[in-house]
Amino acid sequence: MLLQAEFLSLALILVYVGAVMVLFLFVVMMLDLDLAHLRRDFKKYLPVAFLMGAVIVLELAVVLIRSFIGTRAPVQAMSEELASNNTHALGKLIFVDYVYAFEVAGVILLVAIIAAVALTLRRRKDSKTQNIADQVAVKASDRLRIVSMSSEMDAKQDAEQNRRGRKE
Amino acid sequence: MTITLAHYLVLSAILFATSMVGIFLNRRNLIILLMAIELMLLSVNINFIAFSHFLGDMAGQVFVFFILTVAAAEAAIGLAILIVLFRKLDTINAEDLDRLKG
Repeated sequence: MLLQAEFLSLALILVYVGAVMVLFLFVVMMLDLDLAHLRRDFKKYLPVAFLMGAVIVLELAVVLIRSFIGTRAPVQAMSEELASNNTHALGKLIFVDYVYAFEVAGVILLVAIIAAVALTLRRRKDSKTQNIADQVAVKASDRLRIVSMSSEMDAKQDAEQNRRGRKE
Repeated sequence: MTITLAHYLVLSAILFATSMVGIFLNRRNLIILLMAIELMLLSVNINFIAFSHFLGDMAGQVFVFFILTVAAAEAAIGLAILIVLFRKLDTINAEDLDRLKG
């Protein structure tokens, strides 16, 4: 059953249904598409495309069936230990023999996450936000300007004005 | 009738041809082009697993793992680029993308 690849059979279903299909669904829902325009020449390409597809399938089938129809049983059977516990064997292989490639695969996924977020992130122009770094870095001299200037009247004038004010 | 190696390979060839027909038919719609590429990678995965079983070597299954990783990353980045494109040009028609520095 499942070509003795039980772990991958489930992993592929989970990844494609859980991640890839949901991603495509989100994008299809998000975009407001004019499908009629996109499928304008659909009918025109139909015969050519099906001809190409049929030719490729036939050619591949002829070659593959001729050369591989005889192999009913595995040419070299997997050892009993590997066959009985597929997940264990696969894990051993990934984390021992292919650990470097596995880490590179992890880095590729990380790059994909960061790239997807960085590409679709958009800064809204109408939203008001604080710039905390600017607020913390502000100095008193940025906000308060001290101007040295001479007083506008001298003392004698000032006194006379005071006296006049008292009289009234 | 027992299932031979050829049956698996022909199945994956049919899947590959389906995705190629999809690319031919929907050469405008970028989303469907991405889906077709995803299908092509899947057919390669079927080949890998079939050969891994019939040659008694687990290494094929490890490579399916890596192809899966690359396919997922490609879908994520491709769709992100698609969204940026749609915001900018208001279309995902592959024929409208004829300018550099968009």
